[in-house]
Amino acid sequence: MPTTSKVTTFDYDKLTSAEKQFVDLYGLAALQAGIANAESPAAPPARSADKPAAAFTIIGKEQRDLEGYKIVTGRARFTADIYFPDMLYVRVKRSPLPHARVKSIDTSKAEKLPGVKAVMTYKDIPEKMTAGGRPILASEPGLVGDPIAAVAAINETIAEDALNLIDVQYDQLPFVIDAREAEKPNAPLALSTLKNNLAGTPFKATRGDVSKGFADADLVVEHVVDTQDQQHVAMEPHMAVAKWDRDNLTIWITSQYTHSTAASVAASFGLPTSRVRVISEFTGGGFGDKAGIAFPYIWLVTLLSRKTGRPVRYELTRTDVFMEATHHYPVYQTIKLGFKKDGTLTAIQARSIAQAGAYSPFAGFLASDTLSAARVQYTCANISLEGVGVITNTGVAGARRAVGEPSGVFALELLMDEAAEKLSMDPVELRLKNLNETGDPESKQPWSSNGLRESIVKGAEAFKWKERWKGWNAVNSGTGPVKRGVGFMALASNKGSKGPPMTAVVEIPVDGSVRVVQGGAHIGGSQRTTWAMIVAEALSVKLEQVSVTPPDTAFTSDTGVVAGSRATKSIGLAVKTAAEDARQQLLVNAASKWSKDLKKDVKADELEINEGLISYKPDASVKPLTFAQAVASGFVIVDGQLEVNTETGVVRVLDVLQAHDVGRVINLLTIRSQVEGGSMQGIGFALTEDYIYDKATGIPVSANLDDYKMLMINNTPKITSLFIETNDAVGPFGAKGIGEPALMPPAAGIANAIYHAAGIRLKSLPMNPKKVMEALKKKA
Amino acid sequence: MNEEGNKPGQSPEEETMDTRSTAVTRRQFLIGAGAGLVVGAAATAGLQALQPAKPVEQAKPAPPVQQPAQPAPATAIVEPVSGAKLVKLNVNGLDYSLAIEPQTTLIEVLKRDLGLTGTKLGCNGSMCSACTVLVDGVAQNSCSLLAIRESGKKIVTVEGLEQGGKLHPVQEAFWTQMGYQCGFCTPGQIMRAVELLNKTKNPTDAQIMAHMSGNMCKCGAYPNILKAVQAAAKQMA
Amino acid sequence: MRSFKYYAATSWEDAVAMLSKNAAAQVIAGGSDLLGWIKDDLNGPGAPRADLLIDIRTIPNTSYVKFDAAGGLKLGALTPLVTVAESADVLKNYPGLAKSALSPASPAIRNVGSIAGNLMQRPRCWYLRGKDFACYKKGGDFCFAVTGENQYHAILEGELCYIVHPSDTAPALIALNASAKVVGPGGAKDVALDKFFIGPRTNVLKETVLEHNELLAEISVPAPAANWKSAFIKVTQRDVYDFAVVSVAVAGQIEGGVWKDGRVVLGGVAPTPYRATAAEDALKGQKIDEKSARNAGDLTLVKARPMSQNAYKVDIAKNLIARAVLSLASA
Ligand SMILES: Cc1cc2nc3c(=O)[nH]c(=O)nc-3n(C[C@H](O)[C@H](O)[C@H](O)COP(=O)(O)OP(=O)(O)OC[C@H]3O[C@@H](n4cnc5c(N)ncnc54)[C@H](O)[C@@H]3O)c2cc1C
Ligand code: SF4
Ligand code: FES
Ligand code: FES
Repeated sequence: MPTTSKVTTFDYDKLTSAEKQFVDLYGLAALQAGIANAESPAAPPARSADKPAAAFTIIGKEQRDLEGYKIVTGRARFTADIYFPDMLYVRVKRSPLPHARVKSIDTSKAEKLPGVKAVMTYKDIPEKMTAGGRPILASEPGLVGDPIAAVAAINETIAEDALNLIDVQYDQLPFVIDAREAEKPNAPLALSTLKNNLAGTPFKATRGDVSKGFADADLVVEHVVDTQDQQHVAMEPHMAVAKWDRDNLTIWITSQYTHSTAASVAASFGLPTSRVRVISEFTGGGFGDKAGIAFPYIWLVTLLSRKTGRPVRYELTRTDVFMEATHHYPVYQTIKLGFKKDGTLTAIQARSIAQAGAYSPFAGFLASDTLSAARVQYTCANISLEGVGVITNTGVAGARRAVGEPSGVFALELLMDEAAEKLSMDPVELRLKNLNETGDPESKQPWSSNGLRESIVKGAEAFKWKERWKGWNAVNSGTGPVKRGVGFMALASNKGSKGPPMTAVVEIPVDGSVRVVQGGAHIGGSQRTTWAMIVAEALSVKLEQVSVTPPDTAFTSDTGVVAGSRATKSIGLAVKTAAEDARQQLLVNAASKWSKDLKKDVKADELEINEGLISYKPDASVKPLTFAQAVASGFVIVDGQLEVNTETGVVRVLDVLQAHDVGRVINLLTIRSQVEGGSMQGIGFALTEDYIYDKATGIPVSANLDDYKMLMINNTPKITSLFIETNDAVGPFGAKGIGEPALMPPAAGIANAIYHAAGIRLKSLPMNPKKVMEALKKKA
Repeated sequence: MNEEGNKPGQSPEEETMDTRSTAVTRRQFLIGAGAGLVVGAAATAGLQALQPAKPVEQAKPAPPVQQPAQPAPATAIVEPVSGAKLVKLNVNGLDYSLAIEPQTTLIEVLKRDLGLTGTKLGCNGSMCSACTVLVDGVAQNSCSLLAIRESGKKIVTVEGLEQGGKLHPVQEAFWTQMGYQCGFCTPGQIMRAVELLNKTKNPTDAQIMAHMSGNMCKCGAYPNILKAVQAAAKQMA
Repeated sequence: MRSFKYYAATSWEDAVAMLSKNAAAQVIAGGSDLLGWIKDDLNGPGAPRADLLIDIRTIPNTSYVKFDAAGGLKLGALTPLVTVAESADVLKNYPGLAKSALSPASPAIRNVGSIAGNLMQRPRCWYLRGKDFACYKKGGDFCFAVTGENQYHAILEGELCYIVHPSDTAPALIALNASAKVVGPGGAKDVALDKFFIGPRTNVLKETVLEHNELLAEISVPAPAANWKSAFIKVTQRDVYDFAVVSVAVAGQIEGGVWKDGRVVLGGVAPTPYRATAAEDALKGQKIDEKSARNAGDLTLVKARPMSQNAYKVDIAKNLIARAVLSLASA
């Protein structure tokens, strides 16, 4: 019987610009990649220049950051460091109610406070102007913390004093905090504009016959798993400074993607993009939360600056950030797996409810991404997956490093461990047995490089897995209150396949130095250094000769960076550049895909790369491809050892090993640090970080850095990274990304190790002392 | 302690406290989520009682005159505003006299008034130490110090470490070991490490971790931060 | 931060006089707690807005650690926690106190936060610290924790209000039978720290016996008797910026492995530091072993009345008492 698959697809063309941006940025489209060409597998992609690692002179080495001098001396200019003599400072009064209608606002007293230059409420917002669908100042707040009134004053103290003089009266409306409640047909509507709380059509993916798969199974395991609400908490709070010079607007903003902000603000204010300059010289962390997302505060500073004719600065307080910024959304999952006695997977069934928060333009995608691991990681003939995104009166869901995958893979890998035990198999063997090593089962696109088996085998070896694991009867075998255990997990991710930004122009001024003009932010991966290294390697120049510009939309458009044809021309002088090589690979790949899709002969030179999108020049109606669509997956495994104190519930992670297929190591210093940072964030996700709402009032109670617990240096385990170089077909010099995959593994690895140590399976994050003690009690 | 900073600036008036609450009370939530319920969630809060004097605009004062630390009757005085007091600070070796309002924090003075923007604000609440500076050699959260109380103190910020074009060993080590990713928490980490190495030669790893433990890094650059402090310790031993 | 006025006190009397005149005044020591309170802009009868800050760090000679073998330990109110934790005298004679002074918050906060401020700090209930909740403690008419998020709240002696007392040094000092020198309009008096903290039943709007115009000037700890040992253990999630899930301080006179006399005090479980008299009584005259130590823990928690989300703290508290008692025997 032929296997049939069906995956819900999103119609890219019907998406709003915010949605498109999200899909592109996070490669979510890879999930539903081309059902159209599912019949015939694509040709295996061509390899990029197959040099052995030793043949490179610059890449693959440890290279200290070219921006390091500025960073260690405090000279690096972050947005928070922008001041003007006549600048005004903003403070915002926020809704204390999760859902309400503003009945009246009296700002008269605030306006009279000396030093106050402007007060705004929803009445002052131009009609129909929103921040990507979110109210700039709300008349119907949809979550606690929605901005209600804004004050611009000559200093922050006066602005704060003024907030207390604003009197707002509300009519309270019904609200709903929990997605599982909100999903129900009779639930209160989170926003009065909704028909129901479901965001978009539910995502569905089926393959084969799942009930037959379960009927054939010798073992069926099933569980309910939930993961918590998190905020990214980049150390630099969100902020922006806006300054109008007549009809030219400049915005300094902490951002991962200035071009996107420029485009959306320009559109909103009816300005040509050329009159909107957006600058983000250094960005103090983002993790997806600053990915060019439209936040009300950006519009607020812009409007207040226009109204007052002065530069206006709004540095959000930490609590403002928790309330206004995006969240890594909670996911409620049920997942069920069927196995043959020998460990063969016969069926996967899963349902995900993603809590999208208010207004999330991305809600439709959020649930689907949590199911990605279940769909692609293991070979299984029968699957049935469903995901729904649900609007609630909580923090707006967005994308945090790897979007929904961390939650999905946590649920899957927990259950794989449980199954391995019931099958009396080594958990490593069970993964190896079912590994999908060919490619996307639906699109039939082969992996652009595939080091998963190698990662697992080498990783387990390096960790001395067999020796340390000692078999299932070692579970909970330690004596004394503090017990040690090890855990394992595997992950095939659709993330991490995006190369570095490909929209750069390489200029070679007369003096022979090299300047890379690009719009990518400097945000923690020493991106500018990596870029310089690639260019330097390709051009055979010394690294010191290369400089890389910070993102400044005015500057980059002045040099005409974005058009691929121009890029070709500029780079053309240095034919052997890595950038061009990689770019060519990308185009060839995309061309072959479109040749099939469009049933005609598409040539690589008819394509152009523009802002991370590959488009088909002759026909603008063909929807652009993201890099993620053109490439495949990053692979990773993790082993970890930890300690569970069974008297206090405290879990201490001691030793983490992550083995990644990274295609090619460009800068060893950076890539290692990315894995380490990802591990720390992953451990925080697993053990401590928790954004908690008071259910009765909808008010978040852990919106500060004390109650919202992030890990510190003293919680850092030994972290070992193992890099498997498989020479990716698409990335520059065969490299692929690492930032996202590195965060995902710890949670499942830790949960499995906790079981190994103490015999308890925790299915709810974070695994804090409360959950550990409760589980121990239940077990006793 | 400095006389200037310690004497009462002006006699505070007696004020009545307005305790009307802006807060959500029980009734609204106990009555539940019925639509159309009319409640006054926010009443005017208690500032009416105060009569703030007209503030003088001083968002960014004229750059204070900088003078070498010795000898120095500091002369540059920013025009005093209501409630403000004259405060003398020595920052990175330069003496300043500034008129400072009671609620102004040290980080605001450093960044906004003195243009020393290297110090970073992460939480404004003593919960991240991104704002660490040295005050008389002790690492402090500059977001949680009232500048008015630090009169007469010697402040060192990250800008004050490089001497004669030569980086401080801790700076050098943070760069070489890449003890950062985005770099936002880095000035604070560096100042904290300088405090440690000024008083402890050859610290153990456990000492380093304990000392650095309040400095949050969401990028998770901790392993390299440890390496950087170890490397700097070797240099400074 | 919103605006306020500032006054630098020159003596305790000066500060007391200033407080007496100004209902909306508060004293500032290190400011690490108070400024957070002001920045959060909290307000209400139990959370009075400080419109005038009276600086007591400007009072001369208020930061010191003095020890002599006969008279015991004297800590000046303004002594930073770090000074207490690193004092050789404290480390040697009162290891439990030293450890408790090393536990709060972070190194930077311990550099600035004073010992008196640590005892006088306001509770951390997240409803209390949320501007938008008018709960009992702020002077409102409801306790949001009862029906809400109470995983960190009280399991013992909660009533009306279910805060847990946040101070780490308080249990350690009470275990050591410390007392406070209180200065007020009528002069100075000594109050045993054991009687210093009050629960919501006595007055929900504050946590200590101090009146608005009374101040904590000095803390005294009696000299340690022979064979007197102390310990402090605190359970947290990440060690830094972490109030105790549960903490326990024990101080006891141990002779030949037998508990002669001593105190067991829990933190993080009740609106005041909780004197575990049931444990103290049960231990008296007992040989310290796994059984007697467990028994002390179990007896203490018999009275526990956990809320909807915090029953896990009961087990931790039991275990912690046992661990701490055992540690004295082996120390
Ligand atoms: C993020 C964070 C985490 C923390 N974690 C912990 C923890 O884990 N454990 C712990 O024990 N503490 C913790 N703390 C509290 C910290 O220890 C206190 O903030 C500090 O000890 C207070 O000292 P201070 O001198 O700064 O007090 P201030 O902030 O100046 O004063 C605090 C209060 O006490 C009053 N006060 C101060 N001195 C006197 C006096 N002499 N007489 C009468 N009243 C006085 C003030 O008016 C004010 O109300 C934490 C604080 C923060 C900000
Ligand atoms: S526990 Fe106390 S402080 Fe917390 S909400 Fe209840 S009454 Fe308020
Ligand atoms: S900004 Fe000062 S401690 Fe966070
Ligand atoms: S380097 Fe980004 S927060 Fe530390």
